[in-house]
Amino acid sequence: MQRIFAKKFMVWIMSMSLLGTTLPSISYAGLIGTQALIENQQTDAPRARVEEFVARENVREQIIALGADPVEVQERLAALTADELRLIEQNIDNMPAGGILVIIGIVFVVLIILDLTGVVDIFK
Amino acid sequence: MRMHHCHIRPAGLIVVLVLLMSGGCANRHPGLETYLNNTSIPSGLELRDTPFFPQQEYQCGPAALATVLAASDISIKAEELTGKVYLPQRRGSLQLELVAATRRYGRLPYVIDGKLPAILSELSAGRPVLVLQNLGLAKYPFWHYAVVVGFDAPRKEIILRSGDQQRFIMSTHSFMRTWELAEYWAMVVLRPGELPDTPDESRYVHGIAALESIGQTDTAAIFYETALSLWPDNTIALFGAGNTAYALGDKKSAEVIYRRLLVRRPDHAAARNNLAFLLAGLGCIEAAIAELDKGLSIVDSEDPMRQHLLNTRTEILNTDVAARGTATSCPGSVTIPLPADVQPH
Repeated sequence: MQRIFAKKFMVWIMSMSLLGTTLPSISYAGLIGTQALIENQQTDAPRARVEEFVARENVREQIIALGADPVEVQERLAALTADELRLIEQNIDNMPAGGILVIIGIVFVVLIILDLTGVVDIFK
Repeated sequence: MRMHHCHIRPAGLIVVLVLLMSGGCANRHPGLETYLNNTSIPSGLELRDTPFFPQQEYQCGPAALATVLAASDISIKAEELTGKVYLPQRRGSLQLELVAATRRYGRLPYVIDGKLPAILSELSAGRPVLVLQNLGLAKYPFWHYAVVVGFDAPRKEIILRSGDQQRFIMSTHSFMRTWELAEYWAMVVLRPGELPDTPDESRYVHGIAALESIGQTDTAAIFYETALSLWPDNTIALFGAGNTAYALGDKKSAEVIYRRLLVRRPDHAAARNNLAFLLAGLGCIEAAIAELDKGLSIVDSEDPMRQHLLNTRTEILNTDVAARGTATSCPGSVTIPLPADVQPH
Protein backbone atom coordinates (compact mmCIF):
# COMPACT_ATOMS: atom_id res chain seq x y z
CA MET A 1 0.00 0.00 0.00
CA GLN A 2 2.76 2.32 0.99
CA ARG A 3 4.59 1.47 -2.18
CA ILE A 4 1.58 2.18 -4.37
CA PHE A 5 1.20 5.52 -2.69
CA ALA A 6 4.88 6.24 -3.14
CA LYS A 7 4.60 5.37 -6.80
CA LYS A 8 1.62 7.60 -7.39
CA PHE A 9 3.31 10.38 -5.52
CA MET A 10 6.47 10.06 -7.59
CA VAL A 11 4.53 9.99 -10.84
CA TRP A 12 2.66 13.08 -9.71
CA ILE A 13 5.85 14.91 -8.87
CA MET A 14 7.44 13.95 -12.13
CA SER A 15 4.35 14.83 -14.10
CA MET A 16 4.18 18.21 -12.44
CA SER A 17 7.77 18.89 -13.28
CA LEU A 18 7.05 17.75 -16.82
CA LEU A 19 4.35 20.32 -17.12
CA GLY A 20 6.65 22.82 -15.55
CA THR A 21 3.90 24.04 -13.29
CA THR A 22 4.29 23.78 -9.57
CA LEU A 23 7.83 22.46 -9.60
CA PRO A 24 10.82 23.66 -11.54
CA SER A 25 11.31 21.61 -14.66
CA ILE A 26 13.94 18.92 -14.55
CA SER A 27 16.97 19.97 -16.47
CA TYR A 28 18.74 17.44 -18.63
CA ALA A 29 22.25 18.36 -19.44
CA GLY A 30 25.64 16.81 -19.46
CA LEU A 31 26.84 13.42 -20.62
CA ILE A 32 24.47 11.34 -22.74
CA GLY A 33 24.59 7.63 -21.93
CA THR A 34 25.04 4.99 -24.63
CA GLN A 35 21.88 3.08 -23.71
CA ALA A 36 19.90 6.33 -23.39
CA LEU A 37 20.88 7.24 -26.94
CA ILE A 38 19.97 3.78 -28.23
CA GLU A 39 16.60 3.86 -26.53
CA ASN A 40 16.06 7.33 -27.92
CA GLN A 41 15.42 8.76 -24.51
CA GLN A 42 16.79 12.06 -25.69
CA THR A 43 13.78 12.50 -27.91
CA ASP A 44 11.72 13.19 -24.84
CA ALA A 45 13.89 12.66 -21.83
CA PRO A 46 11.45 13.65 -19.08
CA ARG A 47 8.66 11.53 -20.51
CA ALA A 48 11.02 8.59 -21.06
CA ARG A 49 12.10 8.79 -17.46
CA VAL A 50 8.57 8.85 -16.14
CA GLU A 51 7.67 5.88 -18.34
CA GLU A 52 10.70 3.93 -17.27
CA PHE A 53 9.94 4.69 -13.66
CA VAL A 54 6.35 3.50 -14.02
CA ALA A 55 7.42 0.37 -15.92
CA ARG A 56 9.96 -0.42 -13.23
CA GLU A 57 7.41 -0.04 -10.47
CA ASN A 58 4.86 -2.12 -12.34
CA VAL A 59 7.33 -4.92 -12.98
CA ARG A 60 8.34 -4.75 -9.33
CA GLU A 61 4.74 -5.34 -8.31
CA GLN A 62 4.27 -8.04 -10.95
CA ILE A 63 7.24 -10.14 -9.96
CA ILE A 64 6.66 -9.71 -6.24
CA ALA A 65 3.11 -10.93 -6.84
CA LEU A 66 4.67 -13.94 -8.58
CA GLY A 67 6.64 -14.70 -5.46
CA ALA A 68 9.97 -13.01 -6.13
CA ASP A 69 11.88 -12.20 -2.96
CA PRO A 70 11.27 -8.47 -2.28
CA VAL A 71 14.82 -8.16 -0.97
CA GLU A 72 16.22 -9.29 -4.31
CA VAL A 73 13.81 -7.39 -6.54
CA GLN A 74 15.66 -4.10 -6.61
CA GLU A 75 18.77 -5.70 -8.06
CA ARG A 76 16.80 -7.88 -10.43
CA LEU A 77 15.18 -4.80 -11.90
CA ALA A 78 18.47 -2.93 -12.02
CA ALA A 79 19.92 -5.55 -14.37
CA LEU A 80 17.20 -4.97 -16.98
CA THR A 81 17.28 -2.22 -19.60
CA ALA A 82 14.36 0.17 -19.96
CA ASP A 83 13.26 -1.62 -23.13
CA GLU A 84 13.34 -4.99 -21.38
CA LEU A 85 11.32 -3.61 -18.47
CA ARG A 86 8.65 -2.39 -20.87
CA LEU A 87 8.56 -5.80 -22.60
CA ILE A 88 8.08 -7.60 -19.30
CA GLU A 89 5.56 -5.05 -18.09
CA GLN A 90 3.41 -5.61 -21.16
CA ASN A 91 3.84 -9.35 -21.75
CA ILE A 92 4.73 -11.06 -18.51
CA ASP A 93 1.66 -13.29 -18.55
CA ASN A 94 2.44 -14.58 -22.04
CA MET A 95 6.16 -14.99 -21.62
CA PRO A 96 7.53 -18.51 -21.33
CA ALA A 97 8.85 -19.31 -17.86
CA GLY A 98 11.03 -22.37 -18.14
CA GLY A 99 10.94 -24.57 -15.10
CA ILE A 100 9.79 -28.13 -15.73
CA LEU A 101 11.81 -30.81 -14.01
CA VAL A 102 12.81 -33.66 -16.23
CA ILE A 103 12.65 -37.05 -14.56
CA ILE A 104 11.90 -40.54 -15.69
CA GLY A 105 8.22 -41.25 -15.82
CA ILE A 106 5.30 -41.37 -18.12
CA VAL A 107 2.78 -39.64 -15.92
CA PHE A 108 2.68 -36.66 -18.21
CA VAL A 109 2.00 -38.70 -21.31
CA VAL A 110 -0.92 -40.36 -19.62
CA LEU A 111 -2.26 -37.03 -18.49
CA ILE A 112 -2.06 -35.56 -21.96
CA ILE A 113 -3.89 -38.51 -23.41
CA LEU A 114 -6.53 -38.23 -20.71
CA ASP A 115 -6.84 -34.55 -21.35
CA LEU A 116 -7.05 -34.85 -25.09
CA THR A 117 -9.62 -37.58 -24.87
CA GLY A 118 -11.62 -35.35 -22.59
CA VAL A 119 -11.55 -37.71 -19.62
CA VAL A 120 -10.12 -35.06 -17.33
CA ASP A 121 -9.37 -31.41 -17.59
CA ILE A 122 -6.05 -31.18 -15.89
CA PHE A 123 -4.66 -28.02 -17.35
CA LYS A 124 -6.83 -25.61 -15.48
CA MET B 1 -3.37 -35.32 -8.99
CA ARG B 2 -2.67 -31.68 -9.55
CA MET B 3 -0.71 -30.69 -12.58
CA HIS B 4 2.04 -28.85 -10.83
CA HIS B 5 3.02 -31.97 -8.97
CA CYS B 6 3.62 -33.84 -12.17
CA HIS B 7 7.06 -34.56 -13.34
CA ILE B 8 7.66 -35.26 -16.92
CA ARG B 9 10.06 -36.95 -19.20
CA PRO B 10 10.51 -35.29 -22.55
CA ALA B 11 12.36 -37.75 -24.70
CA GLY B 12 11.05 -40.92 -26.16
CA LEU B 13 7.41 -41.23 -25.41
CA ILE B 14 6.62 -37.58 -25.09
CA VAL B 15 8.21 -36.66 -28.32
CA VAL B 16 6.69 -39.61 -30.12
CA LEU B 17 3.37 -38.43 -28.82
CA VAL B 18 4.04 -34.87 -29.87
CA LEU B 19 4.94 -36.02 -33.34
CA LEU B 20 1.89 -38.22 -33.63
CA MET B 21 -0.38 -35.42 -32.57
CA SER B 22 1.22 -32.81 -34.72
CA GLY B 23 0.38 -34.84 -37.76
CA GLY B 24 3.92 -35.94 -38.39
CA CYS B 25 6.64 -33.73 -39.69
CA ALA B 26 9.22 -36.28 -40.61
CA ASN B 27 11.31 -34.16 -42.91
CA ARG B 28 10.68 -30.78 -41.40
CA HIS B 29 14.13 -30.61 -39.84
CA PRO B 30 17.00 -31.88 -41.91
CA GLY B 31 19.37 -34.31 -40.23
CA LEU B 32 22.34 -33.16 -38.23
CA GLU B 33 24.81 -34.36 -40.86
CA THR B 34 23.34 -32.08 -43.52
CA TYR B 35 24.50 -29.07 -41.51
CA LEU B 36 28.03 -30.29 -41.29
CA ASN B 37 28.91 -30.45 -44.97
CA ASN B 38 31.54 -27.98 -46.05
CA THR B 39 32.09 -26.59 -42.59
CA SER B 40 34.91 -26.84 -40.11
CA ILE B 41 32.51 -28.27 -37.55
CA PRO B 42 33.45 -31.83 -36.57
CA SER B 43 30.97 -34.65 -36.89
CA GLY B 44 30.66 -34.86 -33.17
CA LEU B 45 31.94 -33.39 -29.95
CA GLU B 46 31.02 -33.18 -26.30
CA LEU B 47 32.08 -30.53 -23.82
CA ARG B 48 32.55 -33.08 -21.05
CA ASP B 49 34.01 -30.57 -18.59
CA THR B 50 30.81 -28.55 -18.54
CA PRO B 51 29.67 -28.46 -14.92
CA PHE B 52 26.41 -30.08 -13.92
CA PHE B 53 23.89 -28.60 -11.51
CA PRO B 54 21.08 -31.07 -10.87
CA GLN B 55 17.80 -29.23 -10.99
CA GLN B 56 15.80 -28.74 -7.82
CA GLU B 57 12.05 -28.68 -8.18
CA TYR B 58 11.07 -26.34 -11.01
CA GLN B 59 14.31 -24.48 -11.03
CA CYS B 60 15.77 -25.42 -14.36
CA GLY B 61 16.37 -21.71 -15.05
CA PRO B 62 18.86 -21.27 -12.20
CA ALA B 63 20.39 -24.69 -12.93
CA ALA B 64 20.87 -24.07 -16.65
CA LEU B 65 22.15 -20.54 -16.11
CA ALA B 66 24.58 -21.71 -13.43
CA THR B 67 25.86 -24.28 -15.93
CA VAL B 68 26.74 -21.77 -18.64
CA LEU B 69 28.05 -19.18 -16.14
CA ALA B 70 30.27 -21.76 -14.48
CA ALA B 71 31.51 -22.84 -17.92
CA SER B 72 32.57 -19.21 -18.41
CA ASP B 73 34.71 -19.37 -15.25
CA ILE B 74 32.23 -17.87 -12.81
CA SER B 75 32.31 -19.58 -9.45
CA ILE B 76 28.66 -20.13 -8.70
CA LYS B 77 26.01 -22.35 -7.16
CA ALA B 78 22.59 -22.77 -8.71
CA GLU B 79 20.93 -21.84 -5.41
CA GLU B 80 22.35 -18.33 -5.48
CA LEU B 81 20.64 -17.74 -8.83
CA THR B 82 17.22 -18.73 -7.55
CA GLY B 83 16.64 -15.36 -5.89
CA LYS B 84 17.83 -13.63 -9.07
CA VAL B 85 15.74 -15.34 -11.72
CA TYR B 86 13.08 -17.61 -10.24
CA LEU B 87 9.37 -16.72 -10.11
CA PRO B 88 7.75 -19.15 -7.69
CA GLN B 89 4.17 -18.58 -8.84
CA ARG B 90 5.16 -19.23 -12.43
CA ARG B 91 7.34 -22.16 -11.40
CA GLY B 92 9.94 -20.94 -13.79
CA SER B 93 12.20 -18.18 -15.00
CA LEU B 94 11.81 -15.61 -17.76
CA GLN B 95 14.29 -15.50 -20.62
CA LEU B 96 14.90 -11.80 -20.05
CA GLU B 97 15.77 -12.42 -16.42
CA LEU B 98 18.34 -15.04 -17.41
CA VAL B 99 19.79 -12.44 -19.76
CA ALA B 100 19.76 -9.78 -17.03
CA ALA B 101 21.28 -12.04 -14.37
CA THR B 102 24.11 -12.95 -16.74
CA ARG B 103 25.05 -9.26 -16.89
CA ARG B 104 25.29 -9.09 -13.12
CA TYR B 105 28.19 -11.54 -13.30
CA GLY B 106 30.11 -9.38 -15.76
CA ARG B 107 29.36 -11.65 -18.70
CA LEU B 108 27.74 -10.75 -21.99
CA PRO B 109 24.54 -12.68 -22.68
CA TYR B 110 24.31 -13.23 -26.41
CA VAL B 111 21.21 -14.72 -28.03
CA ILE B 112 22.44 -16.77 -30.99
CA ASP B 113 20.66 -17.35 -34.29
CA GLY B 114 17.81 -19.82 -33.96
CA LYS B 115 19.42 -22.40 -36.18
CA LEU B 116 21.09 -25.67 -35.39
CA PRO B 117 24.39 -24.71 -37.08
CA ALA B 118 24.62 -21.75 -34.70
CA ILE B 119 24.48 -24.15 -31.75
CA LEU B 120 26.99 -26.50 -33.36
CA SER B 121 29.48 -23.74 -34.08
CA GLU B 122 29.24 -22.38 -30.54
CA LEU B 123 29.91 -25.87 -29.23
CA SER B 124 32.87 -26.11 -31.59
CA ALA B 125 34.15 -22.88 -30.07
CA GLY B 126 33.94 -24.54 -26.68
CA ARG B 127 30.82 -22.82 -25.42
CA PRO B 128 27.83 -24.76 -24.08
CA VAL B 129 24.50 -23.33 -25.26
CA LEU B 130 21.54 -22.55 -23.01
CA VAL B 131 18.29 -23.38 -24.81
CA LEU B 132 14.61 -22.95 -24.11
CA GLN B 133 12.52 -25.96 -25.00
CA ASN B 134 8.83 -26.63 -25.00
CA LEU B 135 8.43 -30.20 -23.85
CA GLY B 136 4.69 -30.08 -24.13
CA LEU B 137 2.54 -28.95 -26.99
CA ALA B 138 2.17 -25.61 -28.67
CA LYS B 139 -1.19 -25.30 -26.95
CA TYR B 140 -0.07 -26.81 -23.63
CA PRO B 141 3.47 -25.60 -23.27
CA PHE B 142 5.87 -27.02 -20.72
CA TRP B 143 8.77 -24.65 -20.76
CA HIS B 144 12.16 -26.00 -19.91
CA TYR B 145 15.72 -24.71 -19.97
CA ALA B 146 18.57 -27.05 -20.73
CA VAL B 147 22.16 -26.73 -21.84
CA VAL B 148 23.41 -28.30 -25.05
CA VAL B 149 26.91 -29.66 -24.44
CA GLY B 150 27.48 -31.87 -27.45
CA PHE B 151 26.27 -33.69 -30.51
CA ASP B 152 26.96 -36.83 -32.45
CA ALA B 153 26.11 -36.54 -36.12
CA PRO B 154 26.48 -40.22 -37.06
CA ARG B 155 24.06 -41.15 -34.27
CA LYS B 156 21.87 -38.10 -34.91
CA GLU B 157 22.01 -37.15 -31.26
CA ILE B 158 22.09 -33.97 -29.21
CA ILE B 159 23.64 -34.18 -25.74
CA LEU B 160 22.32 -31.95 -22.95
CA ARG B 161 22.58 -31.13 -19.28
CA SER B 162 18.89 -31.24 -18.49
CA GLY B 163 16.96 -31.32 -15.25
CA ASP B 164 18.43 -34.03 -13.04
CA GLN B 165 20.11 -35.73 -16.00
CA GLN B 166 23.78 -34.99 -16.36
CA ARG B 167 23.94 -36.50 -19.82
CA PHE B 168 20.57 -36.35 -21.46
CA ILE B 169 20.48 -37.56 -25.03
CA MET B 170 17.81 -36.54 -27.48
CA SER B 171 17.50 -37.41 -31.13
CA THR B 172 18.21 -34.38 -33.25
CA HIS B 173 14.69 -34.58 -34.52
CA SER B 174 13.11 -34.52 -31.07
CA PHE B 175 15.39 -31.76 -29.96
CA MET B 176 14.55 -29.64 -32.98
CA ARG B 177 10.87 -30.14 -32.39
CA THR B 178 11.02 -29.03 -28.75
CA TRP B 179 13.29 -26.14 -29.67
CA GLU B 180 11.07 -25.08 -32.54
CA LEU B 181 8.12 -24.94 -30.14
CA ALA B 182 10.17 -22.49 -28.08
CA GLU B 183 10.83 -20.31 -31.12
CA TYR B 184 14.43 -21.51 -31.36
CA TRP B 185 15.64 -19.43 -28.45
CA ALA B 186 19.22 -20.02 -27.36
CA MET B 187 21.95 -17.99 -25.72
CA VAL B 188 25.61 -18.20 -24.88
CA VAL B 189 27.59 -16.48 -22.16
CA LEU B 190 30.63 -14.54 -23.32
CA ARG B 191 33.67 -13.74 -21.20
CA PRO B 192 34.98 -10.16 -21.36
CA GLY B 193 36.24 -9.54 -24.88
CA GLU B 194 34.93 -12.80 -26.31
CA LEU B 195 33.09 -12.93 -29.61
CA PRO B 196 30.43 -15.45 -30.57
CA ASP B 197 31.37 -17.72 -33.45
CA THR B 198 29.40 -15.76 -36.01
CA PRO B 199 28.69 -12.41 -34.39
CA ASP B 200 25.87 -10.18 -35.47
CA GLU B 201 27.24 -6.65 -35.30
CA SER B 202 24.11 -4.91 -34.09
CA ARG B 203 23.09 -7.57 -31.56
CA TYR B 204 26.59 -7.74 -30.11
CA VAL B 205 27.03 -4.00 -29.75
CA HIS B 206 23.55 -3.46 -28.30
CA GLY B 207 24.30 -6.20 -25.80
CA ILE B 208 27.41 -4.34 -24.69
CA ALA B 209 25.45 -1.10 -24.26
CA ALA B 210 23.01 -2.92 -21.99
CA LEU B 211 25.93 -4.25 -19.98
CA GLU B 212 27.31 -0.72 -19.71
CA SER B 213 23.93 0.64 -18.67
CA ILE B 214 23.72 -1.58 -15.61
CA GLY B 215 27.05 -0.38 -14.35
CA GLN B 216 29.40 -3.05 -15.70
CA THR B 217 31.57 -0.26 -17.03
CA ASP B 218 34.99 -1.88 -17.16
CA THR B 219 33.65 -5.10 -18.66
CA ALA B 220 31.72 -3.12 -21.26
CA ALA B 221 34.89 -1.19 -22.12
CA ILE B 222 36.69 -4.46 -22.90
CA PHE B 223 33.82 -5.65 -25.07
CA TYR B 224 33.65 -2.33 -26.94
CA GLU B 225 37.31 -2.71 -27.75
CA THR B 226 36.64 -6.14 -29.21
CA ALA B 227 33.69 -4.79 -31.18
CA LEU B 228 35.79 -1.96 -32.60
CA SER B 229 38.55 -4.34 -33.63
CA LEU B 230 35.98 -6.02 -35.83
CA TRP B 231 33.79 -3.06 -36.81
CA PRO B 232 35.94 0.08 -36.41
CA ASP B 233 33.20 2.32 -37.78
CA ASN B 234 30.35 1.17 -35.56
CA THR B 235 28.96 4.37 -34.10
CA ILE B 236 27.37 2.81 -31.03
CA ALA B 237 30.61 1.01 -30.17
CA LEU B 238 32.61 4.22 -30.65
CA PHE B 239 30.16 6.25 -28.60
CA GLY B 240 30.08 3.57 -25.90
CA ALA B 241 33.86 3.22 -25.87
CA GLY B 242 34.12 6.99 -25.39
CA ASN B 243 31.55 6.93 -22.61
CA THR B 244 33.14 4.01 -20.76
CA ALA B 245 36.61 5.56 -21.07
CA TYR B 246 35.18 8.76 -19.61
CA ALA B 247 33.41 6.90 -16.81
CA LEU B 248 36.64 5.08 -15.98
CA GLY B 249 38.44 8.40 -15.69
CA ASP B 250 40.44 8.12 -18.90
CA LYS B 251 39.44 11.45 -20.39
CA LYS B 252 42.32 11.47 -22.83
CA SER B 253 41.14 8.25 -24.51
CA ALA B 254 37.53 9.36 -24.32
CA GLU B 255 38.36 12.55 -26.19
CA VAL B 256 40.29 10.67 -28.86
CA ILE B 257 37.39 8.23 -29.35
CA TYR B 258 34.69 10.92 -29.50
CA ARG B 259 36.79 12.69 -32.13
CA ARG B 260 37.21 9.47 -34.08
CA LEU B 261 33.46 9.11 -34.08
CA LEU B 262 32.94 12.71 -35.16
CA VAL B 263 35.34 12.33 -38.07
CA ARG B 264 33.17 9.49 -39.31
CA ARG B 265 29.87 11.04 -38.31
CA PRO B 266 30.15 14.84 -38.03
CA ASP B 267 26.40 14.96 -37.45
CA HIS B 268 26.56 12.84 -34.25
CA ALA B 269 25.14 15.47 -31.92
CA ALA B 270 25.35 13.24 -28.83
CA ALA B 271 29.08 12.78 -29.38
CA ARG B 272 29.46 16.56 -29.80
CA ASN B 273 27.60 17.02 -26.53
CA ASN B 274 29.74 14.54 -24.64
CA LEU B 275 32.97 15.84 -26.12
CA ALA B 276 31.93 19.35 -25.10
CA PHE B 277 31.12 18.18 -21.58
CA LEU B 278 34.51 16.48 -21.37
CA LEU B 279 36.36 19.54 -22.71
CA ALA B 280 34.56 21.79 -20.25
CA GLY B 281 35.67 19.51 -17.45
CA LEU B 282 39.24 20.04 -18.61
CA GLY B 283 38.74 23.78 -18.48
CA CYS B 284 38.51 24.18 -22.25
CA ILE B 285 35.36 26.23 -22.20
CA GLU B 286 35.79 27.86 -25.59
CA ALA B 287 36.46 24.57 -27.30
CA ALA B 288 33.49 23.04 -25.51
CA ILE B 289 31.14 25.80 -26.59
CA ALA B 290 32.50 25.54 -30.13
CA GLU B 291 31.60 21.82 -30.22
CA LEU B 292 28.12 22.52 -28.90
CA ASP B 293 27.59 25.26 -31.44
CA LYS B 294 28.68 22.89 -34.21
CA GLY B 295 26.15 20.43 -32.91
CA LEU B 296 23.43 23.05 -32.65
CA SER B 297 24.08 24.17 -36.22
CA ILE B 298 23.22 20.74 -37.58
CA VAL B 299 20.46 19.62 -35.22
CA ASP B 300 16.99 20.19 -36.54
CA SER B 301 15.01 22.79 -34.59
CA GLU B 302 12.36 20.16 -33.78
CA ASP B 303 14.92 17.63 -32.53
CA PRO B 304 14.76 17.26 -28.72
CA MET B 305 18.52 16.75 -28.86
CA ARG B 306 18.67 20.49 -29.46
CA GLN B 307 17.34 21.16 -25.97
CA HIS B 308 19.90 18.84 -24.47
CA LEU B 309 22.73 20.63 -26.26
CA LEU B 310 21.37 23.98 -25.10
CA ASN B 311 21.10 22.70 -21.53
CA THR B 312 24.67 21.46 -21.60
CA ARG B 313 25.76 24.80 -23.02
CA THR B 314 24.00 26.71 -20.26
CA GLU B 315 25.39 24.41 -17.61
CA ILE B 316 28.92 24.84 -18.89
CA LEU B 317 28.64 28.60 -19.00
CA ASN B 318 27.09 28.71 -15.54
CA THR B 319 29.71 26.54 -13.93
CA ASP B 320 31.48 28.41 -11.23
CA VAL B 321 34.54 29.82 -12.91
CA ALA B 322 36.75 28.83 -10.02
CA ALA B 323 35.47 25.26 -10.23
CA ARG B 324 36.61 24.90 -13.80
CA GLY B 325 39.52 22.66 -14.53
CA THR B 326 42.75 24.15 -15.65
CA ALA B 327 43.90 22.67 -18.90
CA THR B 328 47.37 23.39 -20.06
CA SER B 329 46.34 23.19 -23.69
CA CYS B 330 42.97 23.16 -25.33
CA PRO B 331 42.24 21.98 -28.84
CA GLY B 332 41.88 24.78 -31.34
CA SER B 333 41.59 27.50 -28.76
CA VAL B 334 43.10 28.92 -25.64
CA THR B 335 41.98 28.35 -22.10
CA ILE B 336 39.74 31.11 -20.91
CA PRO B 337 41.69 32.80 -18.13
CA LEU B 338 39.97 33.65 -14.89
CA PRO B 339 38.61 37.17 -15.02
CA ALA B 340 40.76 39.49 -12.98
CA ASP B 341 38.00 40.29 -10.52
CA VAL B 342 37.25 36.65 -9.67
CA GLN B 343 39.18 35.13 -6.84
CA PRO B 344 39.18 31.41 -6.44
CA HIS B 345 37.43 30.39 -3.24
